Amino acid sequence: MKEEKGFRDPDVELMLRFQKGDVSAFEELLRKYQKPLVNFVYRFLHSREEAEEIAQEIFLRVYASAGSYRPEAKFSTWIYRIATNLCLNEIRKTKGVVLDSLETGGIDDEAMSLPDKSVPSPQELTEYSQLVEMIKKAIDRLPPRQRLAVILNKYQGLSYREIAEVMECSEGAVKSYLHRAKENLLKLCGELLK
Amino acid sequence: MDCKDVRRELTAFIDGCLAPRDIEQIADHLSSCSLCRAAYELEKKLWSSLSLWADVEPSEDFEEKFWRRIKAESEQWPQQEFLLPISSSTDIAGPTAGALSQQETAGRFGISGFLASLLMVLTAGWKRKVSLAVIILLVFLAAAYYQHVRSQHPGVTALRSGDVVAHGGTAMVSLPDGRKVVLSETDKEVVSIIDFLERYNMFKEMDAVNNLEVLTVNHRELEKVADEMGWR
Repeated sequence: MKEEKGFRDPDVELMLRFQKGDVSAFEELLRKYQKPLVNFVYRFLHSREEAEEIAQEIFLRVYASAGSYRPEAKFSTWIYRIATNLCLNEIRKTKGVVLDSLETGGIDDEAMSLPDKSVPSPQELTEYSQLVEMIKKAIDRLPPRQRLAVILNKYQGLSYREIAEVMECSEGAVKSYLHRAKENLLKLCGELLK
Repeated sequence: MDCKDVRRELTAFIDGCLAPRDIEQIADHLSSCSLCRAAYELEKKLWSSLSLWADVEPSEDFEEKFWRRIKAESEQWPQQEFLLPISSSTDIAGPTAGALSQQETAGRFGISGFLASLLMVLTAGWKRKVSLAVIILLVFLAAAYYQHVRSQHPGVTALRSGDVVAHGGTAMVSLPDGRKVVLSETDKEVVSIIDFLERYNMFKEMDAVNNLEVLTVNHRELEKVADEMGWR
């Protein structure tokens, strides 16, 4: 984003005010972004506790980098990039996940067919809650970059271009991640939708 | 467009992220191909069903926890300037808290600081004048040495451009054990940090991405340097 455009972003304005020492501007950003960020991390890592902790960490980083902050992108893009990097670090650390490339971004059939005891049996669930559980499980099983693209697009409402900036890839790659993600999601919960 | 092309573009079609000509072609195809239309309907249903996963609410004390962490950092690193809310219902603003503008911070050093010191020298008694002059001389010698050391490290330019330790700014580095180190241009540690960054050739990466991330991404290297420097 060009500098001129950056200054039109009200969140960038808030960050610049904070940079000049106005703490109330940071408080406003904290209030505005805490829910989206907690939900972003929660959907990515599937843990409420981790979601809160990492969201705190994101704000700490925003706070700490105020001195060197330069409005080169939309504030939301910047903060989601920090969030994305932290989430990817987290799964690298805890799960040793190797990030998929576009070519190897599928879900293997064996993993899909494994019975998961954490999911209640269909008899125990209504059709609705069964579908919700299935959706959560299906998103959780997506390769990290496909999962990121889905969460950023569907739940955070980012455009392809913004997602590309956050994920530091091309818009074409975003399109491909989303397409593959939908294919994988349909494999996992398509039957319930029919 | 054949069925294969249409299926590949369905996601972008549903998201409205295609050129008008492509949209028209896909719409034409869907009106005449029942299999692709079924795939389209299913994908649309899938996308809207994702909304069933409702948002969660952050904990009520989220903000309070955050400001407590900042306060803890400010106590751990008293030499740093930490901005905290002037007053807060969470009562986190202790004696060290207070909105401190960068102008105020800058005013403590730099030219205004020098002029204030000079004024003090001119208006003080001779003994005081001598001791103040010695102090000022030492400060200038230290600053000159600092500049000299920095000039030995070409990567400093990257630092000064505002990427990691910007002029008057701070950066917080997470150590692998969870502790944090707050770096600033005025820190004595900065020279060691520059050595470290150069040793691991991290400047290039820093230009491309958020510098704080790089330090975390390279946590193994950071771990080594944390040991070398006795940070943990």
